[in-house]
Amino acid sequence: MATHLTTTTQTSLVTTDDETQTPVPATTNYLAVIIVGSILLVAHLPMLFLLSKDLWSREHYQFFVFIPFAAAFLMWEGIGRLKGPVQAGNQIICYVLILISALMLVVSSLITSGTLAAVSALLTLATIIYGIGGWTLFKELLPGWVIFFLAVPPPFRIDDLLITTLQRWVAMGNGKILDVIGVEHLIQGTTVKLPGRQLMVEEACSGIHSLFSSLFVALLLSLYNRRGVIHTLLLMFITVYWVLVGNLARVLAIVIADVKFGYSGLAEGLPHSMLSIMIFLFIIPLILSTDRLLLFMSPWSKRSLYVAPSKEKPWHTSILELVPDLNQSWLSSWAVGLLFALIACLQFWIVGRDTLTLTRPNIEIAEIGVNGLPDKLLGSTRLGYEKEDRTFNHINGEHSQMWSYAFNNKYKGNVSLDYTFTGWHELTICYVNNGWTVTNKTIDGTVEEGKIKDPYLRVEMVMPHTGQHGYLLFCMFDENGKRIDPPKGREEKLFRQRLDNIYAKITGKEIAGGMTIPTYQVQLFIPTYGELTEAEKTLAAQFYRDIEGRIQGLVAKYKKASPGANGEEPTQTDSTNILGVRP
Amino acid sequence: MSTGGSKKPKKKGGIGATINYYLTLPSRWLAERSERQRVRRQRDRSENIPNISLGSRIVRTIVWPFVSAGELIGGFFGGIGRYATTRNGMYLLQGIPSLVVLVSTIALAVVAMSTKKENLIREYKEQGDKALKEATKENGKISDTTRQFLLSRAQLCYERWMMLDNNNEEAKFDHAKASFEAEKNRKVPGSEQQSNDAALSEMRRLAPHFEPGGYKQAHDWLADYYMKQAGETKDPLKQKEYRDLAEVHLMRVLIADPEDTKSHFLLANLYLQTLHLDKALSHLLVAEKYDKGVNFELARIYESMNQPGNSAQRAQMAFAHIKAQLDQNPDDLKSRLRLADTAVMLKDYKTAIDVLQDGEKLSGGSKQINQKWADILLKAMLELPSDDLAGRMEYLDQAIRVDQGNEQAFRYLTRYLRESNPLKAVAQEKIDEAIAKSNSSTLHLLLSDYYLGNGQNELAQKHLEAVLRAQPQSLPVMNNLATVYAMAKPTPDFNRAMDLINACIKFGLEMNIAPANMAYFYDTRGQIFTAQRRWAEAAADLEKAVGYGLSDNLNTRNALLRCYQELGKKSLAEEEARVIAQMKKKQADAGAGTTPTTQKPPQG
Repeated sequence: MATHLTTTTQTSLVTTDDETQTPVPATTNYLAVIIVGSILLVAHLPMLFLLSKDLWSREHYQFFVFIPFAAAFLMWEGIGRLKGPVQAGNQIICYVLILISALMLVVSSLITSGTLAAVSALLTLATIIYGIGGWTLFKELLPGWVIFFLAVPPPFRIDDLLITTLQRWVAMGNGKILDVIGVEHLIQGTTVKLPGRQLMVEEACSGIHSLFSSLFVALLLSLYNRRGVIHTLLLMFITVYWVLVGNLARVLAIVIADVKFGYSGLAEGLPHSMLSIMIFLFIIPLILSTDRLLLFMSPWSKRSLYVAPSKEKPWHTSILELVPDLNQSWLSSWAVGLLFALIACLQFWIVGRDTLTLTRPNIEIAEIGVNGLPDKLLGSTRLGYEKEDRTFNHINGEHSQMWSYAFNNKYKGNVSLDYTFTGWHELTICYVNNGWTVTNKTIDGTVEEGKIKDPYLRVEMVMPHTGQHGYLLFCMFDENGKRIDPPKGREEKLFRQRLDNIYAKITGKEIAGGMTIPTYQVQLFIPTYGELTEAEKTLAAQFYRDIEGRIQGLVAKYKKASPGANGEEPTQTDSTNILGVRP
Repeated sequence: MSTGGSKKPKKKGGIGATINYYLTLPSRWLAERSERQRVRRQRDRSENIPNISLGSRIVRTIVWPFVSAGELIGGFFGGIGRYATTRNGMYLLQGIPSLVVLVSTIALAVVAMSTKKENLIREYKEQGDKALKEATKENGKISDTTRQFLLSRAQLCYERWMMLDNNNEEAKFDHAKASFEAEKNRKVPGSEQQSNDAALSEMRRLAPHFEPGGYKQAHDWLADYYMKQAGETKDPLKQKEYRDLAEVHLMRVLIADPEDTKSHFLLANLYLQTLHLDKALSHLLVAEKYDKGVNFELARIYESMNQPGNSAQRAQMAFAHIKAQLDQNPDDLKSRLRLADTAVMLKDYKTAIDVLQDGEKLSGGSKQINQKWADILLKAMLELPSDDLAGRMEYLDQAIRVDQGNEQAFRYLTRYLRESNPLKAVAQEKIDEAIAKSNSSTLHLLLSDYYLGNGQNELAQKHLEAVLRAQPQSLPVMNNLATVYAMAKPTPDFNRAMDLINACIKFGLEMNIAPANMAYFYDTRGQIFTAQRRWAEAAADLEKAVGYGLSDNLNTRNALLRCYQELGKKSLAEEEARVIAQMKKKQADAGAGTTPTTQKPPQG
């Protein structure tokens, strides 16, 4: 058993007004508790900070900033329900739980997993609550603890998959309704095509942003009102339906404004944001109303489970009177303090560098220009060049520099450098949401000693109704030019790739990717009517490798002269060299 | 130490109780209802109903429904009001909005799901056909933007049809057709080939030429497309390739359906193009069994086969058939032009012109009718005896009046200028008249060619300047005029020549015109530099001209040789001299020189 930081340990009996004698701590050494608590907090902070940056980079998770406030409110409300002092939880359970939490935290930092770090932090919080007040306190604070789970991103980016799938459902539903009201249209993935124009292209791969925020509102409502499990689950399920209905209404409003009134402004910019906010404000009353409807339909609706706080004077004068002698709890344990101090050091060693910046930088690269890539390459002729700038955190990256080629002088191929992303960007989702169906997806690259070096993805797709084929090659690399490994499969990703990362960290090698490292994407897309022959596919791969190397070179060269760490502006000479323009 | 904590009322049931509650809901409701009825019956029996008079009973009977209705309505609203004050009632009222939205959205979903696929397919097909027809209508007075919109609408409708019925070949064919038209209409330089390739690939997938089967209409369409391509290209090898492809596609249809009239008809036309008259005749004779409209083509074949009797007979039949068609639809411009052609075949020029005159009255002036009219007048002119100069000139005059920019008529006029008979004076007079009347650029251009050929550079310059005023960015004219300035006698005007050719090259680069055409402009500038003895600049331009496509042009090569010699580049000069010698030998062997193009100005 661990040694305690006990210097003076005394308890006394405090007599309450109703003559009930309740033991409360009188001389707890709060300094020891504060020191251990601070160490716990510091140990968790780096990974939680990285997690916050990661969540902020996902638009649908940006509501997470409200969660601590909501949790604090629910916990405060829970404390108000206590009728008397609480008893500390079982110490053995506490030590087991805190050890599990410590282990999870170490693993999370080694494999750079925000999900695991969040679970570890929540386990620590649960252990603290249980350690202080046992099951009684934990039960009262449970709503505040549960709501934190909304800030835990699911592994394997399931959230992205979920919101994009829901968006496809919305698009399908939208197509059916447009048929009913007689608007000529075509739904391709999540894109709505009207004669001569396309709508919703920008957010084809962005998914439904309001899903998690709406679920947050529904859960908060349920937890605050202490609804039952069935009621809460039903409310959240119906909330998903309301989100779908809201998005359906949003898309429908955009299409109708365009078709019937000739106003296409609703599809983007400020009007679109205003419309989205209006729809969200329409969903919230619906959630409230649904909660009431469920209450009406509940068999116990005639009685309330809610116990109103007593209007009488509280039985305690200070919140400290609630808790027992903390000197006896694990919170004053030297061993725990030491363990988490070590973990804190490990945290700063591993992720310290990433925590220096608050948000991921938005990388700027000067307009490379048409001459950045050769006009003739491997039997292909360059046709044109284009640069596109978007908003910060845009799902397609903030910038794109695109070159078009007559690939093999036969098909039109598009080469694109897209940036800035955070970690891996699953480009295939964007294509699927534009109506493509993936038929084959393989990881390719240079094979050295049985391992694939510099991997990139080869994706074969079809547009089922037109029979069009698409051949996509893409890869991601970070600002140091290090390649981001594509997710190979859930198991492999979790074990092999991350074990490699652990090894790399221990041996001091630099690791590509991570949770918040800015990344670039290079893609080649060749749409054709007939399928490419094997020879053409091989040529496409050669072409891609060549182009990709050149683009990496251009980015790396620019980086030397970019306003980065030293804050210098790129010089004309550097730009000229990069652009390959004659002096 | 006490356990403390909050005490709550014990919660009844759980998931099992909830399920049980809903399962037993109907039986409980029935039990409660029968209990209420039992209580009411008991109460009725116990009530003591007083004796009332007959009059009162009648009044009560009449008034009773109103009173009851009032009580009912009042009771209903009163009930709602009372219910709303209870907690359950409040929950229900507050839950109604979500219930309403839920029910409405589900109802909407049911309606949407019940939309019949067949109806949608029919609707999209109709809309697509309508848009495509409107966009590709001949004489359709619509802007390019509207046409593009209609074509994209047709594409979208057909694509949706394909989505609804994935294996429908008709939908795929129509979509490919609309895509082809849309890309053709888009006219984006450099992209046309690519885009057409996409539509063509779609069509080729429907009708592969290397394997049997395929969609019949796509085969016909592809055959027609290849025949048009063969007509447009001047490369004999390409022509043969296109015609072979067209033949294969048509044969595929005829193997599958030997009685397909359209394929027989197209194949006959193909054989007509390749002068396989026997084959063309046999296919047309098959096509004739199904469509009497082929008599016109039959007449042409017999005419080509020098069988005037058969030709006239078929032309008569064609005339009657087309006339009947035209009578039914006088606005059918295609039939009207065909009828005029048939009349010409029958040498009945007057009827042909009458038919066109009628058309002009109906359409209020159509360019196609005027062009055909002028062509017929010119054909009629050629029927006159060669010494009937006045008669010929009369027809020519009429042709120019009908179609003021008729290039063929102007060519005849300039041809007559070359002759040394009294017609020359009349031609000159007509030319002056035409220039005064229409100031036609075509005529100015033809005259400039004529005067350049005659070595009358001053007159050529005058006409070229007139064309340039009308078409300030005409690159061939700028090029030719620059040459004329550089050749001016006694003093060449190199400054104006250089300004003009520099502007010409600048526009050419801006317009991204083909390097093969740019070669001529660089050649002209190179020759001007050569004339100015600016050897280095001349060599640079001439090298570009050779590199861009004038490698077989002796004039260019000779000028380049001279430049190298003057610049002292001996090895290059030797190499150039060797190439020129080879070219001369080759020309001597072939007995032919280089082929100048229309853009090439005559060199001094």
